[in-house]
Amino acid sequence: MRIKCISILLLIFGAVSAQTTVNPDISVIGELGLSYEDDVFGMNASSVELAIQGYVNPYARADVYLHKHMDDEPIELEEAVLTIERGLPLGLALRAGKFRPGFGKINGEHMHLAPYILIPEPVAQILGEEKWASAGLEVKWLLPLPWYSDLALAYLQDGITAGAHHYDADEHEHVEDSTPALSTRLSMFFDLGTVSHLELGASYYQVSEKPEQNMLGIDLKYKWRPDKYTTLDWQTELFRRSAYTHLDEGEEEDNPEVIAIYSMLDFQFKKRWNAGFIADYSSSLDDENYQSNGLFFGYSPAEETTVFRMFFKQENHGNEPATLKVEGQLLWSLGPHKAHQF
Amino acid sequence: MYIRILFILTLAVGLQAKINIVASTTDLADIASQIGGEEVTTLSIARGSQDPHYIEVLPSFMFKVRRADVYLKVGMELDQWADQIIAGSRNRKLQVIDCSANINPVEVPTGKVDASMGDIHPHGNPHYWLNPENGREVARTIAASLIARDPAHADLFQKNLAEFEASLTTLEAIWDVDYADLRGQSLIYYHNTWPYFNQYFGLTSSAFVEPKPGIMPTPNHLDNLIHLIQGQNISVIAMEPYFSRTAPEFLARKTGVTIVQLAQSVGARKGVDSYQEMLAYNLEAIQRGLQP
Repeated sequence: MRIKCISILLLIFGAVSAQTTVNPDISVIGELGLSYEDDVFGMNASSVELAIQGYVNPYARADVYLHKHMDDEPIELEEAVLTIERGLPLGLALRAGKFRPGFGKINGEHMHLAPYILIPEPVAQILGEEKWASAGLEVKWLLPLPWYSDLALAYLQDGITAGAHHYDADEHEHVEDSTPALSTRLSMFFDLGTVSHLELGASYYQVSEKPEQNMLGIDLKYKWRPDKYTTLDWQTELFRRSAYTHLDEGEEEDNPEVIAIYSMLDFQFKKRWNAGFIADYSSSLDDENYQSNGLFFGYSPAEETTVFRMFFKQENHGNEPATLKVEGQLLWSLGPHKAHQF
Repeated sequence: MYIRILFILTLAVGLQAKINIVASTTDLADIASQIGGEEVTTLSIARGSQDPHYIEVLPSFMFKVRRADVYLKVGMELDQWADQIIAGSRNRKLQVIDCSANINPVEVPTGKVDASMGDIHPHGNPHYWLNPENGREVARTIAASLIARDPAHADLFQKNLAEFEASLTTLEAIWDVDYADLRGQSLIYYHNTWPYFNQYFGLTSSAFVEPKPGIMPTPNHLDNLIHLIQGQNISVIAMEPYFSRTAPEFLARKTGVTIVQLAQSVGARKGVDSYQEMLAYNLEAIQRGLQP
């Protein structure tokens, strides 16, 4: 018994001392934003993201992302997630903690990787300005098919709250809805030769508690990379949100079905330069259709550690006159820079 | 009937017994193929024509590694992308072998290492396979792991290892004579890929087209290189085929220096289909470039 206790203590202290001798990877991504809209020029959206990543044992990895805008808002915990990838049988993987669930392709992508500076407005309508992250549990399964096909099923504490709110009669105010949600995504990947690749995805989201809603998403990403300095990326997604009801001071109102779509083409034509086009459309934004077109280009003077980006966007809200937005962005990254996944 | 079923089962077991090896680079895959012979299947994640520092992590790579028994890493932080592929494969039984385990590294930085020094590797220069002595070390590391995994074929792996080493010894004797004139020659390389190659074949690097590893050349740096080439009578710029030729061609126009494309890996150039052919190709290309 004593030996067993000593062994357990040794294991615990051994683990603790091992933990203290191995540092996780720490990296920082800084952003300075410039904007021009309605004859007003300003610096905005400047922020810093801190990533702390590493293995906690041979089977599990932890990733923590903290985000701080240069304003009075507190530091925001973007993600804090434990991932088990090689420790489970049958091609299963597990994520637990706060993370971006696999609903659509864009939700899992960090914005600093997107060549366009602003999240497409229809996507923001569906997933929220900061996209969707919640505490929860996700199980992934590599399906036994002759090509890469990954099925993810997640239970999240907080469903997508973008635009979802109800009127609290006691407090006399609108309150954002926060209800548990189920989300699932199937992604399939195909090599079309050695330099062309295609990923297809389908996602479904369901909230069963009131206000009920379900969403469907399909996505496509194609990449052609013939050499080190040339890449063509095409990514497009479509979301449909339906059966959404919100209550407003005793009244019950059905929101119409919302269709949101964006399509982006990005071309890296030299080692340091890329340029592209993005178009998006939403069938209902404050009861008016929304459509925008944007042109972007980027310049990376030294690898991907420093990036300058410009984005010109023309927006059309219903019958209102079109507006022009110009955004600039300087991004820098410090610390270990992992390879980008497709 | 029973004999037929037994035969099919035996055949199936025999087929399964092949060790499925995935390697980060074509060099490791080729050496593993030479050591494992008929008892292994090999494939490489990076193509020979790709820069092994920057490989995009594709789900199809994870799918390939999912069915693998052994993964061969270059190590020394060259192929850090392999970690994501290995993790994404969800292959619990995969044996990961760091082929740099028994290498004596060069250019290990002393003191603080940070990004102001460019894309520097804290454990030393990772392009160790370009020295045939290190090719032997890699082959021994792979052979040891194959023998441990499949002792029934230990004799075959030992025999193949001996043949691999003997083939290098034979070639080295030829290279010592044929390329004796390369010893002491000075070159400009595009990237600092070649210190192990230089170490073995007696070449030296005067400078690099990149001002610091992984950093694109600046006008000021190119101006310095022009003065260096003219001052030291350097006649060759050697580069990997995946780098842009813009800066080397600018230097060639200004100074008359010859641009030589080398094969940093198996498959990087046409006809370079084995580890031995890669070393021979580079010696031949440099010698040709140095000829007036």
